Amino acid sequence: MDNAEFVKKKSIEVYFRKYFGVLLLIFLTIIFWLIFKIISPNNFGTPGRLLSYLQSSLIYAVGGCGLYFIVAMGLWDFSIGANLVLSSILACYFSQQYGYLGLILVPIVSGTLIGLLNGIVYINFHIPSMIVTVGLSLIYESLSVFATHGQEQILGPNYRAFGMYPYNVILAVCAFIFVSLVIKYTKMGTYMYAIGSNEYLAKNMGVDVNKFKVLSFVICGFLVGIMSILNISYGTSMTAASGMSSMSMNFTPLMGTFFGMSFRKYGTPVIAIIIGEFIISLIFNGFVAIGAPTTIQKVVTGIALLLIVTITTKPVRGIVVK
Amino acid sequence: MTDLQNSVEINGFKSKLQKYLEKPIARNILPVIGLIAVLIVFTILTSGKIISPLNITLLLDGVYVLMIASIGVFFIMTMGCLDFSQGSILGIASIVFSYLSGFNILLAIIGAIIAGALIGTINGFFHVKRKIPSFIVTICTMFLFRGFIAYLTTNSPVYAVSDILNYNTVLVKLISTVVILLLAFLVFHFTKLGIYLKAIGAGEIGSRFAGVDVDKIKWLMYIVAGMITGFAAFINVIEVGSVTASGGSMFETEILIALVLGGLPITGGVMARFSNIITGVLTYKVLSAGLNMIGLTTQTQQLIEGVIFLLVVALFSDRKSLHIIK
Repeated sequence: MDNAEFVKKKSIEVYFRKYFGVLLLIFLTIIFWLIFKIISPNNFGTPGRLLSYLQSSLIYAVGGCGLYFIVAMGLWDFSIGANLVLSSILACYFSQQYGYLGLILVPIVSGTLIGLLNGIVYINFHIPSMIVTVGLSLIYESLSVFATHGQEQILGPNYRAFGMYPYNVILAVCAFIFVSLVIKYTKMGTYMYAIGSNEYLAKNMGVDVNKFKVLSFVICGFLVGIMSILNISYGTSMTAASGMSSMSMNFTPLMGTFFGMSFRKYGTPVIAIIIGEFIISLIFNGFVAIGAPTTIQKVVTGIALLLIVTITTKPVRGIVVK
Repeated sequence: MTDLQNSVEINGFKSKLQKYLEKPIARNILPVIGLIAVLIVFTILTSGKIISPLNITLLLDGVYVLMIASIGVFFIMTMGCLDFSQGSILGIASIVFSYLSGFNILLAIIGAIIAGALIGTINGFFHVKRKIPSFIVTICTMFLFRGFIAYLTTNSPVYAVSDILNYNTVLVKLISTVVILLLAFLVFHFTKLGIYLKAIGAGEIGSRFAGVDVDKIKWLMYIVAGMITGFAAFINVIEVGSVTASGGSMFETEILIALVLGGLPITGGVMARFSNIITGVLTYKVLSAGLNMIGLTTQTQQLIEGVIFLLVVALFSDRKSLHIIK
């Protein structure tokens, strides 16, 4: 085989690999759609409904993209639910005073600051990220109650554009492009995989591990800020969280992140996160369509997450997992 | 003083403090000092109300369930693992207990223990066989079973048989707690298992080479922790008589905070002390009762608990064993 032929064959292979992941995801989507469509042909999956599932799943996909930076490094962030609640509440409050400027700017700033705080506390206290973020979410939750005196915050009817097509899609797509660019073209994208696969080695190669860890928390917080804009605009109201109730909001974005992690070998984490969230949205709505009680949603979430992790992690014999 | 001198001074103080904290004696004494300090502070702040006989009885009433369930989690955390599903185990086991209490009280206790053991088995399977981090597994099962608890209590709380409240005596609760504590103490100090637990926490690969069947012990401990919390459900139900949708919620966080306050390093290992359970649970209960009594709102309490939790974890984390913190 001469060189040109080899290169051509290689590029076809790369091309195929790239689209294999996407095709697999689309195939999965169709399978799940078919299952629920057959069980409940009237209440589920008309084109109009599919569009609305897609729009709601975009919100979680943005958060999932943020978490991707954390999870790819082998860290965890269990405070994004509390971050989401607090940032959404602040967005609501400041939209009354500064209109769209408050709605957009405030949650992005607060989300990013919370991410920064997570990173700083994690680095300086030398304690595992999941513990830090659980502890901090206790604090963020109580701040959310302080900010609202426990009352529900409702977004004014004049400021709900990001809850509707096309503005929600535009904002979400901007976030996706930002994430794709960071992953593909920046040091951050390269180093996060390096730190994720072998932190010790990365440190010895001269990577400022601490700096990039903090940066990943900051990017995650920034995207949770954008998620808050979409979330409050779509849901139009938000109640402060307490007693770790915000924990449940971590899971839907996390599921998308796991899709991204498992499909990253095909080079398409962001697309995988988006389609993954869409599949999850299909499953949730499918259960609602066949008349399952709403409380079962938690059960479905728990099982789905456990299955996704089980399928996507390869148990290596003798590995130390705590 | 120049900046350089300043930073040297601060670093010197920091390293001195760290050296002191790494001494075993500091780890034994500090949690007890913490408990006494919390007691003194709230005695002053509530002008003695917190140590009135009535209040101490109330305080102890809240201790039993937490104390029992903390024992299982203590074993798991000694191995360096975590368990966030204990609240859901308590909820499910309480429901099973309430259903069965109509037939026979002993059967109900056994049923609750089996329910706990089953959830523990699921936790153990995914953690040990599928090598998924324990925190992730247990947070999934927490969520999953919380859904079941909500589903089973949708229309009304699940009531136990009405004369169950007759069992709600200090004698029953105290004896149950003390017996389980004593059993656990004996296992932890005088059997191989206790040594293995610490060894796994200190260095899993090392203990594997030393011939410890790490996987088996980990799985066993998840089952045992489930069983112990299953038993705690008995105490839980005889106190309230029914289970609501919020049964056992936040319980896992309470256990985690209590054990950490007791001085248990989050990484487990040789620094784990059995006394961590007792001092931790008492400190947590005095702290939350005190914060409540001085009239703080729930969210202020949560804020203070969060801050204290983070500070204590940072204080007691075993830095030598943590080269890479993930």
